Amino acid sequence: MASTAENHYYVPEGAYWPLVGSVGLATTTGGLAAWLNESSLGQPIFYVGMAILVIMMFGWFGTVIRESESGQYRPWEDKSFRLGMSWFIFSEVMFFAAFFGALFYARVYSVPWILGEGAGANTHEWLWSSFTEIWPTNGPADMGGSDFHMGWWPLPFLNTAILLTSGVTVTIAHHAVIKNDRTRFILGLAATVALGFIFVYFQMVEYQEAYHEGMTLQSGIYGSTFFMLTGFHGFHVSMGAIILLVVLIRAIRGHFTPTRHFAFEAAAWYWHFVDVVWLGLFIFVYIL
Amino acid sequence: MLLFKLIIVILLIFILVSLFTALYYMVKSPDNAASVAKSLTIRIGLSLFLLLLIFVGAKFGVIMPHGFGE
Repeated sequence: MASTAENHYYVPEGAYWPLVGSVGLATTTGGLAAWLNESSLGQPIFYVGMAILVIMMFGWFGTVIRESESGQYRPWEDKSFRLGMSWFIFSEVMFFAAFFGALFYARVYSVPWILGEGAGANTHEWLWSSFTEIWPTNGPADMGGSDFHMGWWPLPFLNTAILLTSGVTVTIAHHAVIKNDRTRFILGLAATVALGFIFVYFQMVEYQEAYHEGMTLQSGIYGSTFFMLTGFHGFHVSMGAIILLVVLIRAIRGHFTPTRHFAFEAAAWYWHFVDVVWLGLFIFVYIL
Repeated sequence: MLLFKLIIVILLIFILVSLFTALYYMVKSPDNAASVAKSLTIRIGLSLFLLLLIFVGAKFGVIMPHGFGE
């Protein structure tokens, strides 16, 4: 039995989950490599690896939740969770900064160079003489097709409104947990999760429309950055909604108090973060 | 219109500031729960205002949103 830490850091029992996680990661990446090399076994191995990872997360996070609920954690463990969250967010910020950076670089530097600005005069004349000044660019050289329309209205704007509404409901839940209003807390969380999945559904509709109209990952620099940014954002929304779903189930089971609710706080902050990333995306991809 | 675009970007910066203020409070101490919630409330309020502004600006032609190939 692990000792209850009154005056030292909580030391848990030995766990197999790190080993399970390593096996899961190796299986996933091995399967993916085989899949990319067109082995018929690659795809099933990849999915087995993913399943192992999901089992690991379920088991390991479940252990941590049980430790927390049985009162094993003191302020120093709490501090560790908070610092862990800050490093996770740092990596997320760098991740999205890279893709936003790619979008800005293409728009502010690459496109003018291909148009002949600065040292790019020969590039324009000899390589991309048909390239004309438009943003979003379909180029270079019309590789994105020439007759494509994907405006901000109605779907992207309404989807932005849906995601921001989920930001409102999660904020309602946040104030409710502090005031110990359980019903409002649970309803707010449930609405947030539902709105999150509705957003992902409409993103799928938007992608289908884009591909139907001919804008794909291969449609020049804009198509590539568009799908990288919105695709990874959609993935983050899906993860955030799953995290909030777990928090919702915990809330229904009576977890979290006005003073002890870091799991909710971190999940809620993460939700606000993906919300703001989308707002930035909406503004820089569709508006400005 | 440049001024309108500038307002959008400035609002976005304020939104980021309120978001990361909440993160600062959250990481610093568990006693800041109310401050975290307050900063996040400011952030969602500003975001809604910004979305409304974009809607009005685009509908009345103050800004010209772009779409692929338009």
